[in-house]
Amino acid sequence: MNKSVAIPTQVHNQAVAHLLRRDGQEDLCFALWNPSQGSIRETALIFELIPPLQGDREVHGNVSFLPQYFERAVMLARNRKCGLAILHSHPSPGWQGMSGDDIRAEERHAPPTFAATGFPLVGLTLGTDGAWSARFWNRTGRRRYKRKWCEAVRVVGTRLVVTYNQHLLPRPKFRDKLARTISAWGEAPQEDLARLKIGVAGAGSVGSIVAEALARMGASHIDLFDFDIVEEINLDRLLHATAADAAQGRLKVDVMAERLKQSATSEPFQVQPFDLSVVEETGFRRALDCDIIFSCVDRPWPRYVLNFIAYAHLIPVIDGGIRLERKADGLGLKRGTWKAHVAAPNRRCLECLGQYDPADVSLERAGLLDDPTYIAGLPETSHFRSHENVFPFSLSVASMELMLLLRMVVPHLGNSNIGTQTQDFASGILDMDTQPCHPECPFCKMVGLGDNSGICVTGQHKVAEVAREHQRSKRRKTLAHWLKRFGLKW
Amino acid sequence: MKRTEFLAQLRELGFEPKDSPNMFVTFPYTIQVGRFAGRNINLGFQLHDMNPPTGPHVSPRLLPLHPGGDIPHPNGGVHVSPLGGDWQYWSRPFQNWSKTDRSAKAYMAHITALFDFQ
Repeated sequence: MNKSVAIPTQVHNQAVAHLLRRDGQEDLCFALWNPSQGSIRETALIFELIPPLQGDREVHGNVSFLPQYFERAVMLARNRKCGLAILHSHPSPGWQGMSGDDIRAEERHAPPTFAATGFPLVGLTLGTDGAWSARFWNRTGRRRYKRKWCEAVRVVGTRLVVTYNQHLLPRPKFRDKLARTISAWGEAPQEDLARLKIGVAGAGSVGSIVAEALARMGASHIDLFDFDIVEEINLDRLLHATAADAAQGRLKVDVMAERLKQSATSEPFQVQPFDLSVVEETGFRRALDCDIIFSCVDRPWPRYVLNFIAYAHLIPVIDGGIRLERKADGLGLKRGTWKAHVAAPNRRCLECLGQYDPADVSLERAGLLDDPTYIAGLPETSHFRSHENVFPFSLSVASMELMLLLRMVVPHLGNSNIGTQTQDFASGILDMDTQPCHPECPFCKMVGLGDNSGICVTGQHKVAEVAREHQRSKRRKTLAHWLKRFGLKW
Repeated sequence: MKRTEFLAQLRELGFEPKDSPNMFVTFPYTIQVGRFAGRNINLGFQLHDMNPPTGPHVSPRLLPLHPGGDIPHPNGGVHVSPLGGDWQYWSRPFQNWSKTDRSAKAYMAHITALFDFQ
């Protein structure tokens, strides 16, 4: 199981203010963390610092803490049913290693931490440039604890700043095909962009364009989530899909994965197609392996799940949407708007933005939005009866979403948080709205809660299950056909 | 709000919710207002964490079935319920949920309003 750490920007700023002292000496503090368990990655979500009280630590160039501080911190973690982390600073930039003293201090406190909380001790070190390094101290046997380095530490909020462990995720080497991209913003930002694990939920019109752009601009790890197949009615807006794909009923994620491997400029390049929805438990856990996710879905339940992931699990979600209305006489567009935004701590969430209605989430979870009889009974003007992904508009939304990714990841002189961008077709005006969430928004209160939130957002997705069974049946028939052809039996 | 908290709030309001398969909750309910005021029925809905319950499932059937949304409440959007028997589903999602305190009391106020017709 890979390991990582995520920290909300607010907590990171508090830690920096405490740990990076003006006199240049090291300092330390404890913190609480909640687990976020993905399919192949476990993340510690640091959500609250436990600052030292008078007499809790001694600063002498290095820093050491007294037993009372540890005892207070570990009891707090135990009472709150979460993990304990120890944070300290070093007087140099970048990903930090550990001195002998660092190792002894953390190793010695790993057993009582695990005994009291049931979670491994997590150690973090802060460099002078605000870069973090981190490790888990896992119990490997009776009284034996082993350090497991994290792959990366991400700070999430108005920006997404990731420090990578160079040993586990080394800086990529770029070939000439990325020269022009790198010339736009430099090699270091490209190295950071390239190493992100990026999820694309929804491999439809917008998702296919986003994924293609990511592959071309040097992303090296893309996870695709969609259980749907290519059909003839998709061909006017689904990038790379062909009539042959539709005739064969191929999975959208399989078609995209195949074509992305040809488009990708990063070497190595990994694309994982998952015929899953993020509302299913397995899809949800796969999504938690990502550092950032593009929400290219058009249903309320997956948007709700992604919104939850953005706040509770500290994985920013870039979302967008299109609304088109035809003129009453059927000749031309009455209005068209499309928008894009990022859901992350200190930004407005998808529910407060109106990207989904919680009542519609309940409808979808009850299976009603997949019931043709129910849909047919809805008014003509219902948004569940409209189909608004048209290629040029999808291209616009995808472009806006990709720009938001760059604003979050590539350093620039502007404002990283420009709120929601909404473009109006008729007037050509691009609006920006930076309003925060509603004061009573429940998502703002669950920042960093992770698996300790106690909220279940996933469930059975019957349509996805039927779609997968249909694919399995197709494969069995194909295999049976070829076995028969060669005179073999099933 | 978690499902368990919502159920606890329903009990505090004096209802006796019973868990049923597929995340359904059912309980006896006396209609307070409108054409059916005073009638004792069974009320049900599907309930998940954080989101409002679905529209009400009602037993016995009070209104003629009419799945189409072409006529307004109360007569449109009345479906056969997956609860079977003499249950029916009124498609009345609580679309103002996020403007309320998201409590069981707020949802039951929505239910009361739904029954307020002659």
